[in-house]
Amino acid sequence: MLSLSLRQIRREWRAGPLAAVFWALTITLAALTAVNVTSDRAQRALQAKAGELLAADLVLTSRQQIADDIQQTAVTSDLSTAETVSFPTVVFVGDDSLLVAAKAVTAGYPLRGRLEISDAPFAAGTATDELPAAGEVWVESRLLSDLNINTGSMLTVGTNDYLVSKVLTYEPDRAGGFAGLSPRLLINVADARSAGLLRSQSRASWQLLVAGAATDVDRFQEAVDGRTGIRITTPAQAQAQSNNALLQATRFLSLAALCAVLLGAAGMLQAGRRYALAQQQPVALLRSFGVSWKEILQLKLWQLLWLMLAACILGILIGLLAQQLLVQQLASILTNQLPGLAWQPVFETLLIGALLLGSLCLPRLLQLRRQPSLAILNDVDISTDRHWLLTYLPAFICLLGLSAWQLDNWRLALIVLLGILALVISLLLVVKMVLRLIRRMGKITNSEVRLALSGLQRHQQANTLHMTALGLALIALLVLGWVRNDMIAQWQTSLAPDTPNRFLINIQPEQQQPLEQLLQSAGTSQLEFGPMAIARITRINGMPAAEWRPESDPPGRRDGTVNLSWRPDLPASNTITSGHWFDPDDPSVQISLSSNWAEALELTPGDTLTFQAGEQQLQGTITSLRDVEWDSFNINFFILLNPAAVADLNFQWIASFHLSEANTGVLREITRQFPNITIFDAESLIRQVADLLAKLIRALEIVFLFTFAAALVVLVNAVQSGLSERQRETAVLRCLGVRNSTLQRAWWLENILLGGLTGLLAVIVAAGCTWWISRDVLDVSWQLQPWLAGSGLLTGLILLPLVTWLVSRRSLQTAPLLIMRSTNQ
Amino acid sequence: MSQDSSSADSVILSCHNLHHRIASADHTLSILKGIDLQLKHGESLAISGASGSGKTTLLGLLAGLDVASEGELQMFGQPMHTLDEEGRAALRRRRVGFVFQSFQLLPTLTALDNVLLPLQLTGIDNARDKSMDALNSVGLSKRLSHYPSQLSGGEQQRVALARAFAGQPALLFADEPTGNLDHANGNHIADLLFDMNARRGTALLLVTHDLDMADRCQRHLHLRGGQLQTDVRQAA
Repeated sequence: MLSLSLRQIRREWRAGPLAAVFWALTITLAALTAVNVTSDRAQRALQAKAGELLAADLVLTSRQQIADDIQQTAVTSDLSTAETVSFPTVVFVGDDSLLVAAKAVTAGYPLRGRLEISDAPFAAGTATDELPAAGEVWVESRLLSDLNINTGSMLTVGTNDYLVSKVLTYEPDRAGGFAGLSPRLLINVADARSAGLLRSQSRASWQLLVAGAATDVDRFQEAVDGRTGIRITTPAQAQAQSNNALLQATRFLSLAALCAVLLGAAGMLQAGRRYALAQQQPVALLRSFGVSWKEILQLKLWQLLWLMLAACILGILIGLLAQQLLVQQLASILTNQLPGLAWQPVFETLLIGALLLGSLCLPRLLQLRRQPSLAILNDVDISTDRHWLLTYLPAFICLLGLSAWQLDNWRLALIVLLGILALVISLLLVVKMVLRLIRRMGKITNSEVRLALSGLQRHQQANTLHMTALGLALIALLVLGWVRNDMIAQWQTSLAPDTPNRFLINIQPEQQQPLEQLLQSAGTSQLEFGPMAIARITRINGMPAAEWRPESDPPGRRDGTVNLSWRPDLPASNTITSGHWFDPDDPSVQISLSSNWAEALELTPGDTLTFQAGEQQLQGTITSLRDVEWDSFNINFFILLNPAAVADLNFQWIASFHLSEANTGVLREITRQFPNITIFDAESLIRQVADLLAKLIRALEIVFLFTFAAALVVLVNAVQSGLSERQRETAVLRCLGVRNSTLQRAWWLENILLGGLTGLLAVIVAAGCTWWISRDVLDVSWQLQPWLAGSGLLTGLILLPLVTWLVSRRSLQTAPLLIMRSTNQ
Repeated sequence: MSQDSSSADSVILSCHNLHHRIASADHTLSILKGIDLQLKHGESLAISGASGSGKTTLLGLLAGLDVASEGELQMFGQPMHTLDEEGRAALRRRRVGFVFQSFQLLPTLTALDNVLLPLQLTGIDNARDKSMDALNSVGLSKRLSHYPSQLSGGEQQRVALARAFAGQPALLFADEPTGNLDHANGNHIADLLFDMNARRGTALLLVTHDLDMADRCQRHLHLRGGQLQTDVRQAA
């Protein structure tokens, strides 16, 4: 039976349906393998280091250095400790500069887990217990590639030069996920201090790491709990937060893969139906010769098993290649090396292959049992569509289960399935309507055009399927391309020539004057300084802030730290939407909020807020809400106060200005003179964000290529299933005297029209989708993209006729006599 | 190879009081009304009748491809009317051959594979050699790897004949075997059919509206009004 089933596959392969089942399954499994292996590697990267997420047993975080008495408490509690300070800073190599996420650490770090380092960028790391020695820094590979240097090079950090001695490949407390926008630089605390980097760092995050026996840690936690300005993080909290961007991204990829899976499933259902129909005659014939159903079923099951194994092997191979591309896209934004491949996703793929084949193709084959053998004598066409519940229910259950497993969410799976079903039905209706409209077109005398137009209508069912399959795939790819272009265009055009492009933070009050002079002498323009104080909201309308609108999101907004600023006049890029600007004659605290910020907390003018800034408490009333143009790149704040109310607050300055490329030398001077000041380069930040998103979208596009391939299988299937009808029609017309050349031209015209309509429809739907996404989701301006729209149209225009021609060319060239003879039998 | 152990005079197929009715939406149509017949080992029997007289339905019922509404049917001494579809198929296994009007060759298989597949599935030894011999005996030894679409109608029916005889059945059902062929090809197929029937001692039940062909059988019954007339030649 084994060899017979293999021979049967070979025999039946050229008929088409079995090959279509194979390709649909292969593509589906390839898409699943690509995404699942990527996501499995990401998850294992997190799980493997789950116990080390904090690099400690408990972490205290503060905006200031952790008080000595707390450190002392830790030591007396028999806990080992280490300190880290994380802050943004700019490093220089010659005239090139780069914003980095610096982290200064003391001996002992990390208390749990180990750092991993390598000698060369993008190489596998090895664990180490050492830390950067004095005069040395360790950096991520990305920093080296961005600055075009290697290990052994010197970097300027703050006022000093440091040797890049190692590449940092893993930090336990930066587990998995995407790095921040800036690459990491690791330095020891003593060096950071001597380079002037830790002086009055407003953007610094100071952490005290402690580790020890559980009871000691608990006792220490109780002792420090409730200390103002200190956040305590336990390993459990870190674990919850580790559900991070990388997993979100892989979940997004899973969603994209699901499109390929569902389209592939449609192809398998369609091909499975054709296969079952094609098996009616052989099954009836074999039964008439006395072959038992059990033997026939055994033969078919073996055939399906071989088919599944072959599809699984090919699908897994293609999927593994694709996951390599996916990981490459994500590699430059991953903090840590991903673990190698595991067998589990491969076994899962085999299981899914069996489930898909079993639920999508087997039910129809099983129905052949009900077919009476008498059919062989009477040429009765036994429809396998009669028992639609038996046919489609297993398919729906399997796809729902698979979707839920992929998305890890039953509700979302059901929504996605029904959503795609609704999209397909809408597309089918639109296509049907368009084809009906074409029928109403005026009388056309040209015979080829007439034939082509009537062909569109005559083959409405097949054409609708062709357009829907290709249209769906085109829409998916167009939407992605469109959104990516929209976002990138938005960022590229958002900076007007003299828009501020550099920001300085952490400017101490005494540094403001000399800094202003330095900047003015360096030829900067649009220079603006703003004061900034750090505070916490303690009460809202008299109620403790944590209890105010507990359902509002995110909670940190109502009880976390906020930046306050003050000025007498309304900033240029702000518009009052509600209430009135500060009354200069009123000495009480008046507050103006960004309207988005206020909406999130359901605050309106008249509400009161209480701030704690250092030792000082401020209570004020909201007098206005403002719309803020954040993309103006001017200094803007969520919360502004009237200057009279904040006379005694501790504060720093922040500055924004436009710096031409020719004058960037001043940045180095700023770092030299004022090492505590952090410089942000807006343009490079925008480039980094754009680059990150473009890579994510490219990863999505790789997955959507599978959707496209699945759509092609559906299209080929649809063309093949309508082929005999086409052949018969062509043969009859040729017998009736219509010239072959006329028929050929009409055929091409019909398919070009169909392809053009598909492309046009896809462009229109994609434009609608992207308009909505741009406006409501991404908040970027939507632009008509003629190149992309043109390429979508052209793809439909070329691809549909081409695929149709490739599939049907041999059949359409068959002599009419042969066709008539074969169809009469 | 025939598995039938019965003697030359033994009955291998018989039916008694066979009725068949088809229910439609508003009435019941009686197609066969009390058919009685017997077929002995090696005997040839033709059933003729006008189009729509129920010949093919009768053949299908006698072959156990469907179940009669009423009546008894015995094949190789077994009560076929009591068996289910699987039981009837098991009874036909290796003992029954078929030739159909529309050839019923599988389009995706070559001539050789069309003959080979049923033999392989029913577990006949040396299936390949037997298939090639059968095709050779119908003059198609040079067409083994041709697909049905590459063969003429006459050639296709010769492949069907080879398939029917390759398993050396004891009983062959033929439904209008020349119905789709021209006169010359029809005669050729008829010659082959009767020749193989004679040489291999296979019992033949032939359904046809071709009276010349029916007359070449040892017995010829006529179906009219759902009932079998007496042997046409005896009556004459």
